[in-house]
Amino acid sequence: MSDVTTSPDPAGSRHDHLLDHAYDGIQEYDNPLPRWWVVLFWVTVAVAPLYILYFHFGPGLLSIERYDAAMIAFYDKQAEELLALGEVKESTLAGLMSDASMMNSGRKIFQSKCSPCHGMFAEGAIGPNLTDDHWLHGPQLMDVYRTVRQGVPEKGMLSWERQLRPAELLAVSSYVGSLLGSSPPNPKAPQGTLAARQPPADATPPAGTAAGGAAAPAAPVS
Amino acid sequence: MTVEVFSYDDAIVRKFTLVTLVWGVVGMLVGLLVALQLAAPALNFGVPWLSFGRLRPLHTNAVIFAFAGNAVFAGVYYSLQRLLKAPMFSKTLSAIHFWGWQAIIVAAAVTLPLGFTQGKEYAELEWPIDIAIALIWVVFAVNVFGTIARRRERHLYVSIWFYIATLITIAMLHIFNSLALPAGLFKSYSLYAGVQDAFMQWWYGHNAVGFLLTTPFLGLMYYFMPKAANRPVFSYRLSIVHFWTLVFMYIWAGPHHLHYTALPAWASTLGMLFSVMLWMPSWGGMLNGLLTLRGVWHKVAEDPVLKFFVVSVTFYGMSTFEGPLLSVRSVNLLSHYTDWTIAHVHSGALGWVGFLTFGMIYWLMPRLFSTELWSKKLAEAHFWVGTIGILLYIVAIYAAGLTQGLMWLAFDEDGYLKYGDFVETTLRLIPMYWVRVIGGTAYLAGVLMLAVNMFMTWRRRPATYQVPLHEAPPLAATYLPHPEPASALRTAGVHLADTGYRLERFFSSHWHRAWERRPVKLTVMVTVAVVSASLFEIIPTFLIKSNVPTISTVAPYTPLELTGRAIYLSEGCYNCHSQMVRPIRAETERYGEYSKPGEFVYDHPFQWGSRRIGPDLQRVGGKYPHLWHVRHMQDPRAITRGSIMPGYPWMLHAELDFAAIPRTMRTHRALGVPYSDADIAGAVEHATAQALGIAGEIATQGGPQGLERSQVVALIAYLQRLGTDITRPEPAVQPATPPVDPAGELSSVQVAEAR
Ligand code: HEC
Repeated sequence: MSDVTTSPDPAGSRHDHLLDHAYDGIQEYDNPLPRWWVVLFWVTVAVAPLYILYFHFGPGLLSIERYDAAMIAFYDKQAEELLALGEVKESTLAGLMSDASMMNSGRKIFQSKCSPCHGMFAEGAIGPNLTDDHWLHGPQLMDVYRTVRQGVPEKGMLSWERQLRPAELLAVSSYVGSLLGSSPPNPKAPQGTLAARQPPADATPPAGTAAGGAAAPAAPVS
Repeated sequence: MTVEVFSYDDAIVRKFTLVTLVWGVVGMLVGLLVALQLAAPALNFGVPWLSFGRLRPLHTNAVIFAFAGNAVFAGVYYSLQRLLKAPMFSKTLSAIHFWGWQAIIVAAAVTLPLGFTQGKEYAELEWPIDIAIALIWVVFAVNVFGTIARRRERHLYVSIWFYIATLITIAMLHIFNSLALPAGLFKSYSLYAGVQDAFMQWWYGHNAVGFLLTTPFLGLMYYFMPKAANRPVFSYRLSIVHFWTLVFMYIWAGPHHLHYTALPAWASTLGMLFSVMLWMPSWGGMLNGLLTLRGVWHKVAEDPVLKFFVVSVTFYGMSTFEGPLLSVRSVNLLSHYTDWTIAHVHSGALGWVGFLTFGMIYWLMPRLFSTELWSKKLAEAHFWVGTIGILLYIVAIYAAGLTQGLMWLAFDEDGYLKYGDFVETTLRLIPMYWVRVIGGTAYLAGVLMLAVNMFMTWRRRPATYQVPLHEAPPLAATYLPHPEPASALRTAGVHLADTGYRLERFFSSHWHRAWERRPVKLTVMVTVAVVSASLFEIIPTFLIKSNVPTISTVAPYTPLELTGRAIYLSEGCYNCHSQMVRPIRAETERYGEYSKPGEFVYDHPFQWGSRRIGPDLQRVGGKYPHLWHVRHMQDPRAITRGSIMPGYPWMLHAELDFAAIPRTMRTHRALGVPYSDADIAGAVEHATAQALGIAGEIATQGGPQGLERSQVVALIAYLQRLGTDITRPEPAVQPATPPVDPAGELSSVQVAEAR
């Protein structure tokens, strides 16, 4: 019927069976489906019900269950560390300065969360310079800790209590404390009053801060 | 028997081929510009309509609907007439189709840079254009089905099955995803919100790839590959099996774009499993393409057309293996939101779609212009430059995707994010972005070679085209089918229940022959396949309440925030920012609590995003003071060194349209957002007060004065609201409901503990 233009293989070289139809000269072989193709197809089909059984009706953990398990393990570890630290006092924060891993964490947190306003090296930008001896909200480590936790919303300083975990609040406060006198490049002019930091006396910690550190960690921020 | 004489309309094919090339160049130029902007953000020259968020949709729409779309039309108009032995049904409809489609493209090219957008990826065009698309598509469909009705070839060849699947499915996807309520001539808001909108969007997004960039091109391959190679198709049976499995399974796979999001887990599981099952059906097309070349591989070395086809089909095979791989949840965890997806898309688009189109055009040119191709050497050069371009592009972008994905997930020994600072991960990518620019330039250079070749070939055309006449008898009113071959089981005397013989017949696929001469039945069956597959997922997504547990503290946006959200949509921030924190520690550590389905119930449209060129914004509310945002929007690099976010300095001066707020709110109320009459009546006042408050705080923090009527204030109001509802204290009056998503969170913890 049609003018056949596709040319089959030279006779006898293959066993292909040419079908008796042609469209605009295009012909088709009647070759069977490749065996491996069929097998792989049925394998992918067979996997589906097994996967559903295992993950939706069996012991497999879906993403949120997996996440919850990971978080519970993480909080357990954190709670242990915090209980070991005890009540948060000026001396606790001062003590953390010699804990290399805490300082490393503090720096990481500072650089990702605080640097947008205080500069990469705490030299000050939108927020004040944290390395000089002038302070807007007090020079003590406990003052820094309080400011970080509660924020000064009217001036644009946020409260980090809900965004950072207890151990992170401690680490970053104590890291900021350790920057005193570090004279970074491009410092912002001093703000606030000149005040020298007193060494830890540790008679009574300022009211309302004890709970922040020593209690069991807060529920997941949600 | 009477014999009819007829001729084919090739003028329309010439037109579509020409615009394919023109829009291809335009779309790729825009692509090159946005790629450059990621490497060097200053290249938007501070011009609003050149900024990344507005141009990237122009690039995607231009290459998908203008370049690939017109290529499909050219190929369909050429092959359909010949496969059916009939000219197109109506020259008028062909002309309406052609000019209508080009007008739509021009409208898109004007409105997208102006910021008129519905804010849904690859479906950005505003409602008047959407309606035009639907109408022109119907014109195309009538033209095709009319031609089928007047055919002189009894059976439909496999290409035409694929064309029919394309016609039906694209119409369905486009109409149902684009449903929106207008709030003005150039603005509308999606009918769906949050989780449901996300589902619809990716049902559309995934299947637009499937039915605009895959099925029609498979149809073209089935025509042009055997033609160019002058060889029969490898396997008729394979074409039947892979056609039906592909058409049925493709539709289910959409949710694989939403793994680990607030989409319910069952949907994401179905998306993944069907994607894996799609692997072999997709490869059926590749096998039939490549194995058709058995015995003529030597020709590939000489013929640039076959070279393009071979590379194209190879890329098709690669991307259809990669697709199922990427849809496996644990792989997706790493790949999602990174450039890996972009690399995947481009190996499909540049390799499969692009190269198939180029091969087709080179094959068509001598036939359309009735003369020899001007330069075969130049075509060869195009092939090599293009191939090198693709390789440079995708290798660099695969590397970028992997690099950034791994950096996002990395923890250090102390359990903190190793790269807590997002820009650190961006800076690492810049060199790879430059390599992409080089690869893209090479690819575009190849297309320009094609353009030169086409122009020169066209110049050698005859003064008037000879229109050859063809002859064929009309279809007889009655048809005696060939007898089916006898059942092997019956002849062998095997005794079975009747089902046994039926199964044997089913697997022999002879029954399909009968379907091929009944276009209506074939069309109905395709429709049943795609519609039923869609409904299996759509109905539960919309009807099962537990998919989206209510969060009592989630409230509608304030008038000012809603306006800010409109600016966010219009600037296309979603092209770089997601709003979806996945439940993995690397993410909750970086951004905050993971996203819950109930948080998005007032989001028309959803803005979960698909690529994090910048950080997730779902929990950005309250993260920075207002002043930070002002400075950052004004000049991101002044705040974050190395940022590649475009600046939006004009937002500090551009006036906010307070008068439009009530209308926007009324539209949202019609969509189901509970704004009261009083809310709407007091909207302007409320917005003015909130703006004054924010502007006041910015001034106290030491920022610029008098921003209360500027766009930036509304945007900041929106950003500061994002993700804060779930931490808002419960209003004291409702003691009955426990706070914050009790269903989702507590119960899953308990489940985990119980194990
Ligand atoms: C070209 C991609 C791009 C576009 C478009 C874009 N951004 Fe960004 N954005 C980034 C990158 C990269 C960063 C990270 C570096 C930085 O802080 O500037 C970022 C950061 C941000 C941040 C800070 C997030 C955080 O947690 O630190 C905000 C807020 C933001 N963008 C808002 C917007 C808004 C609003 C728009 C639309 C008007 C927008 N962006 C458009 C790339 C983009």
